Amino acid sequence: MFKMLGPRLSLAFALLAIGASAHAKDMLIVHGDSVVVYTGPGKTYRPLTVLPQNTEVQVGSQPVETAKGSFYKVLVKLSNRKKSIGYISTQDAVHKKNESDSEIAENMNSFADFPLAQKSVHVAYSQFKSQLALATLGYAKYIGPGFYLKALTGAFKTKTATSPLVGFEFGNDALLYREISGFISYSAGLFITPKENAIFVASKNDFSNFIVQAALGARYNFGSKASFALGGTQAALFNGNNSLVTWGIIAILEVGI
Amino acid sequence: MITRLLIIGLCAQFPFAYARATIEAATLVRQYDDGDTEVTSPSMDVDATFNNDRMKIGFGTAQDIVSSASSDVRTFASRGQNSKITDRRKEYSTHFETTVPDGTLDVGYIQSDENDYHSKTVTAGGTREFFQKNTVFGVGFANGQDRIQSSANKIFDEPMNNQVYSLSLTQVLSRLSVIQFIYDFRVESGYIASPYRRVKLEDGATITTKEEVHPRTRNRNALAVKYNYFVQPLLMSWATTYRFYTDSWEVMSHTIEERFSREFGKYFSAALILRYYQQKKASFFQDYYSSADPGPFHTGNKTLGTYNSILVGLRPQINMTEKISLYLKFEIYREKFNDVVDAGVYSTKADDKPLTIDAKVFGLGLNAKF
Repeated sequence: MFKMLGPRLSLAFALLAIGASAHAKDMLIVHGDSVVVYTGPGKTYRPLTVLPQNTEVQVGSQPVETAKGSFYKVLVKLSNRKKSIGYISTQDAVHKKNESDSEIAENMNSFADFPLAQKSVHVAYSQFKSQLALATLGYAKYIGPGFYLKALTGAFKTKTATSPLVGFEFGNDALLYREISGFISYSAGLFITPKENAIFVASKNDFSNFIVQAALGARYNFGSKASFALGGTQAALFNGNNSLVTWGIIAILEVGI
Repeated sequence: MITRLLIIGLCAQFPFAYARATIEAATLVRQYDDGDTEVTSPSMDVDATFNNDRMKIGFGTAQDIVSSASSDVRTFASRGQNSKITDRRKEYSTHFETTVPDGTLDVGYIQSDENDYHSKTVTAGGTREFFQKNTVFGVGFANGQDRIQSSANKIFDEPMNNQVYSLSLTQVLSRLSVIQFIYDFRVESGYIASPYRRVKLEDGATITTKEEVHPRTRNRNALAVKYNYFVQPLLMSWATTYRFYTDSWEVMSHTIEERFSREFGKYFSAALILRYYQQKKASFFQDYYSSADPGPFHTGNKTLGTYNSILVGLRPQINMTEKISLYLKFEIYREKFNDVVDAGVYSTKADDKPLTIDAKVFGLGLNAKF
């Protein structure tokens, strides 16, 4: 009997070993112009990729129900060697079909969800032309796909002083190519200058200073639950009746929570 | 030719997409004449879309060729009432835009040069669509590095840095109407004046002049509301714009514009533009300052005074083919100053007279797609 079962058991173990299941493979087909795949089951998650018309992807047997709607869990191919789990709204222009039993479905549970969630922590560092650096720590909440609001705190560092700062930021992150997305952000904040000449020549010791900053750059989504961004930035600092306008580079490390 | 080669070279990176590329070219020659000053402004812009229309790259060039014997030139230049100045400004620009999921991202660069004024500006921006594209949120910013020189003083060289932060929100209200809110914040820091402008100082009957002194920071805020409405029975679109402006020099202005556009058949369309502008002067503005105490800031810039202006414009357009259109532009412009005079010979007030500028603008443009 074992002799008869041998080949079948071997096949079963082999299937387990490669992380596949022998049940039918459900496919999702894009029939609209394009469909956005999100990193989580909600449109407030960051877009993972965009599928063009007629693309077929493997889909989980049941949609994921959330307070913000129903989403298909899909397995998308990001490169020749990389696949990832993503989510497509059931309201989007897609339809589901069942492949023949001969198709061997990959076990979607063997793939981790792709990183960045609805909330994240940002550590940002800006180095400006005027020997001025700004470091901030922020808490961001995605209120739309890739669109976030962030509360931040940090400090300016100049040659002579460190000035504490609190502020907010909003930004948009949109997929450009595979794991690379483009971002644009605006921020504003209040800061304290602890002594005269702290920010620029003739700046006053003042509590009522403010800053506006904008940035544009590219973000690489790597590993799990993290991204790194690099871009150009400009800032205007206001102290009393004077201002300093400057520009530089910005680096941001983001960790999903 | 160079522009086309650049576009073809770029599109060659996307060989399958090039077949679907669209190139649009727009040229315009504009002539301003107020009797004292003539400005001829030719310009050309070329845009090409590629990568299945997902990306766009553009190049532009423009010039201003100025010949002026304005009241300021006649009053303060060395040859007095016979003075005339000429100048030429050249501008080159390029921009790149890509579509991203639910929006766009763009970057650009503009360089402008005169013999005594050089400007480099980097721009960036993006849009984001919400609610089935019925709501579009836009952000943009620009960073400009200017250098101001003087042909009268070879060692004069001052920087002026400026930044712009823009926000916009566009909302489709119905099938026939759309509203847009735009906020622009611009900060200028550095030399925000002109090395040529002179300030009139009076001491009794004696009038002298000196160079102007402005604050080295200016924070400018502008809020605009645009409402576009298509009147179906008249087949006419109405575009109403109101803009409020205020800055840290206490200049405040209101602009109202109405633009009526209508198509008359397949080949002809026209637009009528009406604009009214009203401005309150800067806090330190005076036409004549006391020579004993002109204050820390004094200006010879009449556009910091109190004035209003009216513009009436007409723009007929002929669609010669589906891809080529030709348009004309006629504008009549009147600027009336409340607290600025045409000083004539500056050393006496006897020939002072109210300053009003009446100008005519004529333009000829051609748009083509390839």
